[in-house]
Amino acid sequence: MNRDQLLDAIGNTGESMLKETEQLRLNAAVNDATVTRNAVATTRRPARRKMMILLAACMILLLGTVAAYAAGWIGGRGGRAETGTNEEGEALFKYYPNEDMRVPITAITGNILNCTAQMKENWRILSAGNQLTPYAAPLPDSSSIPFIVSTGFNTVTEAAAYIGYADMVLPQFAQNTAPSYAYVQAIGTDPVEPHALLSAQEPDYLLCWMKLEACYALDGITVYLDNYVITEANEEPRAILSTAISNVPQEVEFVSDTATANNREFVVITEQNIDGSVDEDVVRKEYIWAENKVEYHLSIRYDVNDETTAAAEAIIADWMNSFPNE
Amino acid sequence: MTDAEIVELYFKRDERAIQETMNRYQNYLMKVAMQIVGDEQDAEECVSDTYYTAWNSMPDYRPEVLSAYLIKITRQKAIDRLRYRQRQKRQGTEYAVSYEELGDVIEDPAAAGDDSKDDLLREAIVRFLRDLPTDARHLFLGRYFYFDSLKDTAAYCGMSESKAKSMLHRTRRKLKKFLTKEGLYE
Repeated sequence: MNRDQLLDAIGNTGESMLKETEQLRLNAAVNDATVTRNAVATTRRPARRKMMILLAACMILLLGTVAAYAAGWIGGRGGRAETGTNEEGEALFKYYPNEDMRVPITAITGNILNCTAQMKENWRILSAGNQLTPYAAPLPDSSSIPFIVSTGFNTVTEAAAYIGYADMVLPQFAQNTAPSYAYVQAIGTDPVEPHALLSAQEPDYLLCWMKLEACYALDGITVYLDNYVITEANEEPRAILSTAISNVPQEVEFVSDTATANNREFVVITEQNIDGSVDEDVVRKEYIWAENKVEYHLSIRYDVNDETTAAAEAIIADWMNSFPNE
Repeated sequence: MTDAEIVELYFKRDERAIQETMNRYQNYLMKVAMQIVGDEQDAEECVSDTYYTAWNSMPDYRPEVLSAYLIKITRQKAIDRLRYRQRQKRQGTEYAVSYEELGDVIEDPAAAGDDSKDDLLREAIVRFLRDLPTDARHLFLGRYFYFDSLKDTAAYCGMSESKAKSMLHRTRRKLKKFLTKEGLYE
């Protein structure tokens, strides 16, 4: 007998014997609870960004202490970035808005408020030992977690209306162009057991975290818009603890810079090769801004040629100029 | 749609069965396949093959637990694929780690296989697992059926990693003695 035969014999385990172990796995955090998003394709191996979101269940490690919140550059808006690596050696960056980003729940007026009822129903289904139906791509899979609910939309305008936060800004190009996809993801928290994936008692979930994501695939350009809103029920004063690349981490690193436009200083994160070289053919950047308690991200990847570069720069300028004048 | 309803679609030869299975289990099956083959494209092919096999196997067979039935197919396809590829593909996967751990049971990785006792071996493993304490069985299946990491397996079994590691070690030693006593290993 060899090990292969032994593993084959183990593979013959009956369904009834597997059932109990299956249930343990389904009930626990076996599935990755982080939100993953395919980063834009690159000319080399594709990189995956692992967006470390804050869950009220606090499964994510808090790396270091949260920075003190001082007055911002202009009236508490904006923020600053840090770059580095995480425990696994993956390239990472963190964005710290200049103010506490939590809004009162009363500031949210859209139908997203009904999500908490869906979260409760999800809890009932999972607690009974059943499974949730996974969302169809590109909505992120959260089928083992009762308090994450995603809803798809045809336009960002509809997605923003679904949240109903009056101060959310949408760039013109996003309003005028049909996205490849758009969705809103809502996360709730159980005030009694905020760190439990599956609370022991039926929770009265509170809406604590929302993300509007839209993707635009244009000729040679891929753009992601991500707008984040968090409520007073959120444990932390910012939406995202860190963003990491989880593939071939030794090859890439993040570099932080700023870009000034429209009377604002935007953080710009560039993804580049760890030896300091930059792909001559491809640009991968993320622009970040925080204003009126919304954290705005524009991730863009584009081929470097005259036409595409000009189109990409127009998109970036459109986004930067969409924030209202003083 | 429940599992029972999905199975009924297979039995009626309704092609919606495949789509419903995908909707429900795609990510679940992909995760296990990835833990074995470590390559996304290979894993996707294993999962696609799983749906094909499931379609062909029903209605002759009615699975008791659909998820367990599908995962068994995916697991075997992923292992077969891995064996077909070069040995170095195993490295860096949970499958590779589990494979090395089974050195406590079968020391020689190049040991010759004796097909004639496969049926006896399968039946013996079922008995061995059935007689294990519940915790030890969940741990063992977690590592050597699902190829979950030690960290994940310990977490859903509700114990520390060090305790899980010791328990798995003892279980492997116990399995070795059991197989020797059964005349299946010398």
